[in-house]
Amino acid sequence: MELEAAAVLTAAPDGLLVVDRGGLFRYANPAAATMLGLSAPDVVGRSCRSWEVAAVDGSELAVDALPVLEVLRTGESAGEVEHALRRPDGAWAVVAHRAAPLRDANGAVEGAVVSLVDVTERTRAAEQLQRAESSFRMFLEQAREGITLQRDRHIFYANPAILEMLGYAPHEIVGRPLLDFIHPDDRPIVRERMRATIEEGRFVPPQAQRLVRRNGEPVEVETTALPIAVERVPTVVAISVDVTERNRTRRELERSRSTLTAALEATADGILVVDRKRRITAFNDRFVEMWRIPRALVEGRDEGRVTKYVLDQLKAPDVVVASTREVYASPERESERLLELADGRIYERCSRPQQIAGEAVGRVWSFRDVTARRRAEAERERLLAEVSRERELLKTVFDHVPVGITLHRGPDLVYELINPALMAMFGDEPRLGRPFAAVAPGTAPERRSILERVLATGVPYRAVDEPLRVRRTLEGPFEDAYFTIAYVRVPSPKGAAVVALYVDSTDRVRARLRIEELAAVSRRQTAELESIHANMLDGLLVCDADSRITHVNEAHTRMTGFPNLSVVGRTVGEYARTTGLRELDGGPLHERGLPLLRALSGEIVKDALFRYSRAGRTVCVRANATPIRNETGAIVGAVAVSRDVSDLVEFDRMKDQFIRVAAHELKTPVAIMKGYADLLLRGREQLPAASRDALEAIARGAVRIDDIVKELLDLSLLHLGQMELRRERVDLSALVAIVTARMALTTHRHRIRVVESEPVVVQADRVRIEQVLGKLLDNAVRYSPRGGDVEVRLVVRDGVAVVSVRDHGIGIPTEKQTRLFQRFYRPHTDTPYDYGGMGVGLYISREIVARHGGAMWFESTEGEGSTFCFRLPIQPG
Amino acid sequence: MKTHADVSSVLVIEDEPDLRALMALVLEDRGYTVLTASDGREGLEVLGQSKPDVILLDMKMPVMDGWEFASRYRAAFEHPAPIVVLTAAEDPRTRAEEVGAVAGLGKPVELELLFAALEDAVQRP
Repeated sequence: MELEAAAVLTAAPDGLLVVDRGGLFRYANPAAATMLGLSAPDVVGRSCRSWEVAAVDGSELAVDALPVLEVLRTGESAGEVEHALRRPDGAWAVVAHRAAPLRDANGAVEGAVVSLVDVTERTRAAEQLQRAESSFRMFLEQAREGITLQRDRHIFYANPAILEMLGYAPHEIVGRPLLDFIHPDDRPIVRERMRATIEEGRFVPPQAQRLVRRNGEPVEVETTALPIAVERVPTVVAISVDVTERNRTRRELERSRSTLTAALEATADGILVVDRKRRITAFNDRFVEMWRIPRALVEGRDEGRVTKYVLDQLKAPDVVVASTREVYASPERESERLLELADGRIYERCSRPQQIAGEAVGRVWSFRDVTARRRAEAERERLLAEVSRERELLKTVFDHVPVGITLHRGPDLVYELINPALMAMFGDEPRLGRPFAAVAPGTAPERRSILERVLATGVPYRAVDEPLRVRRTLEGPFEDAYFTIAYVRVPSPKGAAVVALYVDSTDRVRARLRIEELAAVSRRQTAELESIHANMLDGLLVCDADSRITHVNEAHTRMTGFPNLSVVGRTVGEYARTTGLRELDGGPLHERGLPLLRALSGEIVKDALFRYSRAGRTVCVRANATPIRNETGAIVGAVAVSRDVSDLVEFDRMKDQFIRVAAHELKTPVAIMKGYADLLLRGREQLPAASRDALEAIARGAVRIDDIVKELLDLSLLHLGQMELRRERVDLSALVAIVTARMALTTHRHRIRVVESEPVVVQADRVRIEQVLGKLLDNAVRYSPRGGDVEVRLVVRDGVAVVSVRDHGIGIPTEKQTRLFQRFYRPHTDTPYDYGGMGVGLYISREIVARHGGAMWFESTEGEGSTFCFRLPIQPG
Repeated sequence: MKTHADVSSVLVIEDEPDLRALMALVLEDRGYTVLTASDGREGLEVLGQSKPDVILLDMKMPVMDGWEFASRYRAAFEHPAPIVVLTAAEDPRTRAEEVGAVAGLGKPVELELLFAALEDAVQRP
């Protein structure tokens, strides 16, 4: 609609100008520009004061008197003023000048609209008329309008204007009927006009009609006819104004309007124009089509009904109603919004004021189907979001992936891109923008040629666990590292580049190398061990945590005669049964006693002895076993080392046999020796002193030999497991009393006595218990060289009888106490207190007590004395 | 001091001559009537002619040892005399039980123990 207004302005014959408050031209249409003697763009920006003006009669005219300046000054419309103005080319023009204020939304004057009508010609004619004021002819001659005088329907005068208009000479017109010059189609009108003027004497206001030029062309004129009386003869004056140009302008206007209408129809937008009174002034087919609205409804011009029809199709009509109301409430307002239709289509609604000459005269609604566009936009948005997400994802990966990534470009392989992982791998040396060779001189020549080859040929390079010397920090030392590498040529807008990817496999490679190293060591050790196992004299038997035998060596096989294959995989228990393994004394062997099984439960087994029969021969083995633990300490198996000790056992047996025989053989001579000595000593009072001392020495020697023989026999009995107890009811308190008393008789320097006793009966071997107590008392006396008290106690507590012997002798050094019960251990050897003996007495005593189910122990302080104790269980009943 | 031995007789069966002589000396000194034999067979021969109150028996002897002697003696005589074993074995009491002796003494023996054992045996019903 603005387009229309613009076109109208452009085509208008009157000059139209807009000035701002400062009097500067803001707009000029072509007609105005022509009047002002410039092109339209040249006018804009000039001040309205830049033209020299003058009154129509040539007198001076103050510029401020011009209507435009009056309007700007007063804010009120100004009346028309005709004045002359001088164009830049020096020619004067006369214009009819009118002006009206232009107001902003608040009513303040922001400028003025100026209308100029070129009245130069008219003014000139008027001057001529004035000059020929006395002469009517002069007026007629000079008139710009075509004037004819007619009498009796014939022309008797034609002025130059009409002659020129029609292209005739005066004599060709004068005397001829008027109608000859009237376009045939218009002759009825003219006849009617002539009748009115002639017969009724009426003035006929301007009428459009066509005259015919001499060359036959029609001339459009507006003719005013008035009756006059000239010299009393009825005469008609017809004044014709050539309106060809005006009509042409109008036709152009109409054509422009129809072009606009066509444009309106041609547009893809649906358009509805509503005037300020809410009447529909225009719409196009597209609007009808878009809203599927009955044409009659639109043609009814009732905006309310059309609007309702439109609203019914919307998804959310209420919102749109409110918005529409707001838009209508402010005529100048522009609005754009999206309408969602119930069927899913989306229309863009645009509303602008329809302005003519700066004034809102109505409102143009345009509707555009943007469904496809919106969908495309939504799709594009989605794709953009996706791309952005992917880009974000890519960046995240690039920043955080434990793969060193870098991009090399150009012949110098300049670093163009580096991710954090790469910096962590190769140090934080500045790389970006620098050539490859400048950054990594160490590996440069070799690496560089590889990268160049990839760049040149496009054949990717890949390497697994490739060794590189790298520096992890800028100042750090070079170290050997390993990388899995890929170089790949990639296209890019700036030319080909090589992407280099590095995965640090140093730890993995080192771990692998370490494992290989360990494996080699392990293989070597295994071989060594196997060789040792194979060649060792001891039999080796290994089982797992489930007690299945996993390994047997040659020696073991030789020892048992069972082939390896029949042993490995069996349980230890099965194997023991198969071999017929028994206790050393031939008794049945309980599975729990097997060394491997004891070791599996955590025990370290030392010198366990067993026997079994092989090919009719008894084989004795001595076994040691120990658990196998893993690095966490858990038992995962056990190993037993055994040796055929048949020869040793036999030798031992022979030794014991020998001792027994020898002891027996010694006994008789000792008995004879001692017997005779005793016999002779029975009459000691009659003997000479020398003989008596000698006989006593013989008797003592015999006793000592007898003691040694007895101890040797006890040792061999214990060793062979043949010491048998003869248990009987023993009144322990009585026994303690008797043995103590007997010992008291043998010494004068010691006071040996029972200081505490309770009546208690035990099941025990009387002789052996006497032997034990005798030994303790003997030791107490023997190691109290300065004499003193020896206190014997018998107490009963917690179901056991405890006998203790306390002396106040030399005591036992702390460091020697732990070995005191060992066989043949003599703590006082090589000291002043070495009183002889084989060092087996305490051992034998402890074994005797142990065989009674009791125990023996002692406390001793060097220089203060010792207390030896043993306890015996009290049998119930 | 007079004891039961004054009216008792003892047969000493001992292969070792020195010991046999010692026993004879000691026991005669104690008041016993002493008979001697150098082995089991000789002992049985002695018993065929006299009837001692107690027998002091060694176990390990040539020709006939203590076990055989005891067995044969008990088989041949209706009222055998009590036996006291005197042995070099490490467990005289076991030996004594094996042969049904009333006591077992080890060599060398304390004379007091020997006398006590013999007198104890003689007084048995």
